[in-house]
Amino acid sequence: MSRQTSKTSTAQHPRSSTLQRKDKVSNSRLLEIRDLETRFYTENGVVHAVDGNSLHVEAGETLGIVGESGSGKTVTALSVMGLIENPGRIDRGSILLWGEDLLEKSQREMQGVRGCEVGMVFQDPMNSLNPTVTVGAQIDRVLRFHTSLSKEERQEAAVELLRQVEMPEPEKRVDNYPHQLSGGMRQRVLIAMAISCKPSLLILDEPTTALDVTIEAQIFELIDKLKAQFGMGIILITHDLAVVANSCDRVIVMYAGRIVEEAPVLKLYEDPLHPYTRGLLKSIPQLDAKGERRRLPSIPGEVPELIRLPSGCNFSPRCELVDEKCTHQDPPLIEVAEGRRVACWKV
Amino acid sequence: MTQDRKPLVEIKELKKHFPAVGDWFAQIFDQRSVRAVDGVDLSIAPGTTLGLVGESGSGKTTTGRLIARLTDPTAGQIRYRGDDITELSGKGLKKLRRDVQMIFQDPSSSLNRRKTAGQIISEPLRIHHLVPKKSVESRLRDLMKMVGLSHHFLNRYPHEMSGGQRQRIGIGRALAVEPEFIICDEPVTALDVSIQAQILNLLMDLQDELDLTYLFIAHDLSVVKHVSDRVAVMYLGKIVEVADKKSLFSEPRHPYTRALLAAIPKPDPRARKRMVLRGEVPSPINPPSGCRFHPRCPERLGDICREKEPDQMVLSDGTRVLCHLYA
Repeated sequence: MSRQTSKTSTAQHPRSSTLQRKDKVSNSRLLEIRDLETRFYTENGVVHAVDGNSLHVEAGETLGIVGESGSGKTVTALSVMGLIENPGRIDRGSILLWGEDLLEKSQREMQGVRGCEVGMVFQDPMNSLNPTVTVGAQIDRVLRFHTSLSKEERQEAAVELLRQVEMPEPEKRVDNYPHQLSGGMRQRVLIAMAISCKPSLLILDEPTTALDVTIEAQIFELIDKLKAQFGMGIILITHDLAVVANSCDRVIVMYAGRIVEEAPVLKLYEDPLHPYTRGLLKSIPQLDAKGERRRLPSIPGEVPELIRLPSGCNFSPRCELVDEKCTHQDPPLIEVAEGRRVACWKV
Repeated sequence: MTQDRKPLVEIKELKKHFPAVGDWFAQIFDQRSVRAVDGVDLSIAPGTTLGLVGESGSGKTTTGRLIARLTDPTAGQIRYRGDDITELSGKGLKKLRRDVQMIFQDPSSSLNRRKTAGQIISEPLRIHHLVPKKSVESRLRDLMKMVGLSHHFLNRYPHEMSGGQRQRIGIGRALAVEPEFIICDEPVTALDVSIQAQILNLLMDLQDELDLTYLFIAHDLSVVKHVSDRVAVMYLGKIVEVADKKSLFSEPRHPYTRALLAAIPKPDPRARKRMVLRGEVPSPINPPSGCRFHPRCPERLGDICREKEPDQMVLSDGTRVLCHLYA
């Protein structure tokens, strides 16, 4: 690694994070979320986007959060980043990064945490990059904000970062505008910006959903390489269970704002416990399925509106195993084995 | 089987080139063009589904739009039931629209947001004067039932409905004219996993019930495998391989097909690591010489791949492949 980039991580700037991560490693978890409740107070009613969830991420591991649209996975990430805006509000809970509660930090302190301690990559690279500014200048802004490098050092660091994310011809691409790059290259730029200060936590929100499958494979190979290099913890948010199977150590399944199941990745696919997880796994068209054209097993109905949640278990209107208790009482998330939690009365 | 019957749709040497630069003045001086579709041959037997796969920029959507006559070809021929429809206009084209329909990827941008579900589905009935005015209502109810929409949605607007319900409206609108052939352009790409399965099942049920023929365009090979009888793989404006579903998936011939299959993640944590294909799809303005896949090809033979464009080879099992490996 070059001298320039190693400097970016050590150089402390007045605005960079106050968290001294190296001292915290010994006794605290990288990320621990407890009883998080994020709600949106809209004209039509209160949206329970994240409804009392607890989860954690260890340094060096990849946690997958899967769920369909409206399950609360993106809002969970935005809560960690301190990016919940009106009419949204975090009503309860704590988000501990290396043991320090991010919810007690001021906006100014959070600016130091974002991009420095926690990096985030969004789904659509075209919407998260400024179309009127070159790629190099956008990386430069991040470095200027978080480090005390000189202008020349930052320029070299930008090229070096692009090289780290395997951008072809980084010296040339640094002067390109986003529209001159392909979707895969734009996503590489976003990853370069997210890792520019070597964050200890990287949040990837559907990082490859807009990309072709061959490019997706390249991006995940890159993410694996960076993870091994920097030892950061990763939260991978996706709707794609195949992507999760390939890249994650542990998986959390969310449905309508709640965690319904948590398991180590092998266990989740071998022995899914929650009826929703089972339904999801069954409804994926299988590439290696033999046989002829057949109907896919599907989950009937649709995801409920978060304003009008059903009584009892949120999944009960679509569940095959539903009975009286399910429609009246909310199942708690219970630990059923080491590292396995599930919220279902039928398990 | 059905393969012996005369093809319903047959296209030959189909080309569509778009000007690479904006206004007409620049076009006179700059003759470059985007060769979106560059010599495509395909045929689809009645009652079957042809899957068309490829990455973005491969020209699969343009191919679909050409067959639906939503855009005019630069060269080549499209035959529908043996008749050349490439030059159709006016009445002839309106007649064709009753036989050939299209379902689009994004149901929120392909539906008129100022119209209710009922108005959208019944519009084709009125345009083509398919049923007397007084029976429009009952036909509409039948159509909604067919696509699994409850009649409560009759007076709802698209934005009040979920993605899956909107796609059902799109399917209902296509079915209103009782078409024979439907071009489905990424119909489930924008939908959640559990809803995807519902819509795929609906499309397959409708095919059995109404004896429909589909061209199913998608980038997701597992979805295509599920619904198709034959599959065509497209790369940079050319079909590189067409085969029976079984042979394509069990014995892919073209190196690009193999790479595409190997790149797909499997929903199994024990599965072998995905193979990673290097590089990106080159620009269709200036495609590589010789075989278009040669700069990324892991099985490149040598100079021949760079210099000579491969001819289409027909193999013993009927697979057609565009690759020097089989010359």
